[in-house]
Amino acid sequence: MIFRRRSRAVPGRPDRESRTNADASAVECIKQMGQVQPVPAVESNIYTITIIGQIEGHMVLPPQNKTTKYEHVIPQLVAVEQSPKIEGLLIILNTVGGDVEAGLAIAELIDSMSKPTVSLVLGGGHSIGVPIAVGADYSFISETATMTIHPLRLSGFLIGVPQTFEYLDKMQDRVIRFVVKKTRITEEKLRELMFSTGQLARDIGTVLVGKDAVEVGLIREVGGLGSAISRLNRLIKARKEGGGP
Amino acid sequence: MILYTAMPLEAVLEGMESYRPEYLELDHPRGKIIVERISPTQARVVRLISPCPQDYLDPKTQPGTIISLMP
Repeated sequence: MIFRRRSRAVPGRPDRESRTNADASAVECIKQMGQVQPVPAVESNIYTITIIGQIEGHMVLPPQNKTTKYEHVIPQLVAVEQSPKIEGLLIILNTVGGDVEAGLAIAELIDSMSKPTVSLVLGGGHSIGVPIAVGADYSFISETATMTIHPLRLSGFLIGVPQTFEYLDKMQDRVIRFVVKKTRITEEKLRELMFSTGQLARDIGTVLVGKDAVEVGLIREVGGLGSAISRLNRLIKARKEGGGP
Repeated sequence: MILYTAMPLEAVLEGMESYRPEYLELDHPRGKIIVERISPTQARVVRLISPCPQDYLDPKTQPGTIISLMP
């Protein structure tokens, strides 16, 4: 037994017996499990989704990849939108990209949610992580985090129907259109970043570090967890007062 | 499927041909859980199939959770 309910203390008298019980159970817990008691669960009005590693889409990736499975994230977003207890969503990203369609599906779903959403890019939000980060109502990037903007490659992993250059171009336009719609960046600027040479050793594109991403208009603000949570609380408050997110 | 990633594709797809996981379907109160067997007594949750969105917030059925299999 890990949790033991304390008996009600009589005011003015130390509740010695129950304290001894709690101490004994803590010692027991350390002896048996080699760990201290877990922090009791606190009901929060914010739900956090972490987008890490590769975004796994229609194919299962080999086990050396850490993946975020889109088929699990999508119903989670539905549950967040529908749950009466959850008032806001925090999305934390540290992703290297992944499946285009899975990534865009998550981004569009986040964009279409009525509850306030805030994203925070930590470490990296590359490739298809970009539309997911900008899909939220408000976006943050930590000072040292990076975002890589690069084109979809024709050498990509293609299976099934014959893939043509136009098809790939169309997929790329979907990403560009979504990002342009959601941010202050212009299409010309985004394409310029995407096709710039001399920054990446193996590819064309641009690496944006922290405030660079804010300067080009992709991300709204440089900040960390504290600023993301306080912004989310402000959006929740505004929505409650009828202002909408 | 098109992978749009900053990682080299050969690193992502390495072992794709030899990766043959053994999947099992287990019952869930409102649907099924697909698990990957990792040892005779243990399995890793791969996917939850349920029509109820709240089920997807349950930590016990998050993908990657190790569960023990009853013989």
